[in-house]
Amino acid sequence: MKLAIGTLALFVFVAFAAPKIAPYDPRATPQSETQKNMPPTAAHPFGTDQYSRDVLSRVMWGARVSLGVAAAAVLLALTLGAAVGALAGYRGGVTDVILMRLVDAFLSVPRVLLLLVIVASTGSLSPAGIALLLGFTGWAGTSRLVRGEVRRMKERDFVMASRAMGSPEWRVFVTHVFPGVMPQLLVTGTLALATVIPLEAGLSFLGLGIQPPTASWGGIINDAASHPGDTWWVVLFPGLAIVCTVLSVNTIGERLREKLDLRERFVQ
Amino acid sequence: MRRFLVVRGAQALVVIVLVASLAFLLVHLAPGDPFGASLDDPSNDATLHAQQMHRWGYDQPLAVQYIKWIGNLGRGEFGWSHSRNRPVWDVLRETVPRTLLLMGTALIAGMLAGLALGTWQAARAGTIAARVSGALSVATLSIPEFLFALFALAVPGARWHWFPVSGVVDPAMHDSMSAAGQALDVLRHLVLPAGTLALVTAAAVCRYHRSAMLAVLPEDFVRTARAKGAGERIVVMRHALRNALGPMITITGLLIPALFGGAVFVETIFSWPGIGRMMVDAVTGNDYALAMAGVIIGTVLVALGSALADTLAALADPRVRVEA
Repeated sequence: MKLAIGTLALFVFVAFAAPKIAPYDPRATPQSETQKNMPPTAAHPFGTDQYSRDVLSRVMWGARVSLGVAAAAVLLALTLGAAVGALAGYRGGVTDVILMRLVDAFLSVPRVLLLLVIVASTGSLSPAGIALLLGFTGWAGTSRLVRGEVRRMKERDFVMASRAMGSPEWRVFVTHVFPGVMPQLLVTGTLALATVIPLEAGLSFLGLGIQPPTASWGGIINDAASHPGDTWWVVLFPGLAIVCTVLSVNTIGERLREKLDLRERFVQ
Repeated sequence: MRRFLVVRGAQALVVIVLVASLAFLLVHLAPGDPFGASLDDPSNDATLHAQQMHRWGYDQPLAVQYIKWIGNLGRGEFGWSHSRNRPVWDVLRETVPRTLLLMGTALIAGMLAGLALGTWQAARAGTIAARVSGALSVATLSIPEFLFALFALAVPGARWHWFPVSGVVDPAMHDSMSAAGQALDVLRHLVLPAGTLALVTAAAVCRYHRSAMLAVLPEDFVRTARAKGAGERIVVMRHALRNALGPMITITGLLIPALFGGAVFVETIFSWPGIGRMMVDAVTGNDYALAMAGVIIGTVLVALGSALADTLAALADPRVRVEA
């Protein structure tokens, strides 16, 4: 757990400090044949890619883009999911039925295919566009969980009491129902990060996410995708960055769930 | 049982229609059009663009396009693939079986490996070996499929030449092989892509099966079996395992959407011409009709898979009732 928090903190620090600590310009392409596809050396600890760019600097700047996009996407997904789930759970009735059928539909589309079909019609997207895309396709699971929590909270005595004392509906919701949902949201959000980071990396790896020359972890790997064995350092280091981040986030999420005593649920 | 099937089938149908509509809306509301990339270069003028938009009906009101499109879908008419210059249906007829072969192999191999490993981890819970293997299966779930696939491509594929890394069959030799040789050829091409997907599936199955087994092992009937003097092997395999399998059927249904996601990357990396690769090509080729068909087929397969899983779960455990 400490290791996981430490790893994640390190990556977040790198993401913020990339402009200060990266040894080279991540887009600089010195036009020298001798600096192309160099294995790790003292000058380039992670080697260089086919455009003779420093991979270490690109991984550092990539942390900025990949973690930034993931964080923004998860925040958007949580907000949307909480709003839809709260509305469905609190209102009940027809609203609930309609919203939950919509959620069913969203959950039964393989998310990668949905992302691809949207990219097919929008064309290349900016990092902000990718964050929006990942956020708008990721809220359904959250909304189902929030709906369940809200429905449970709604029947609790203190909520009934507050309503009986004449509090307006919105205040009952904000002060009594919603705080009970927060732990669930926290855990869902953490675990959502662990699915969004590989998704963005995958899209960028396919050349359909963050566009070159902007560095993202998946995009760096894409630069060596056709012959991953020949320039293994271009795949290995950003790959390790992805795996370490996801593993830390997963560990933290699982521990939070245990601490907050939430039942394990299968979420896509 | 009949009522169950009808309700479950109706639910699946509603989901498919909703998804089809959703895909249509998303694609048509997003900026860009199918002729943007190919016709927007300076050598073409705007009239050609307008002509093409008109010819294929992309200039009609959204509602009209939607009704036509849904009507065509209902008749199994998926439209024309602009990038491949042939009916979408013909493309699907080639790609769908290949993806089913890939995913089916991966699902079966992954399930068997995951169940075996999960059972073992639960039976030996607490020992160092079980804990290490448990941690490894969690770590496996944190590694994206495309990284596994790249590794498989680079090391057992390109470095050691154990298995072919591209396509479904050997392009030069396949036609001159005997029937058995041809089957073997396809199997050899399956190993790396299906193995990659199976690994990830096994890790997921193992994790859920282990918790299911751990939940069953302290139950009264397991204790009774032990008290009656049954050997540990019989207790685990016959009494605990059987009872832990029920929920796994439902989990299997839930694994299919994730498997599709994995298939997109694995098919791209290993040049396996299935739905996943078709989708990526459709996106790069701005082929709306093909991309939407891919999403719909994917959803139909997922809906069928989960309906099948629910039916099997209901057959296995009469306490399960469909939530209407």
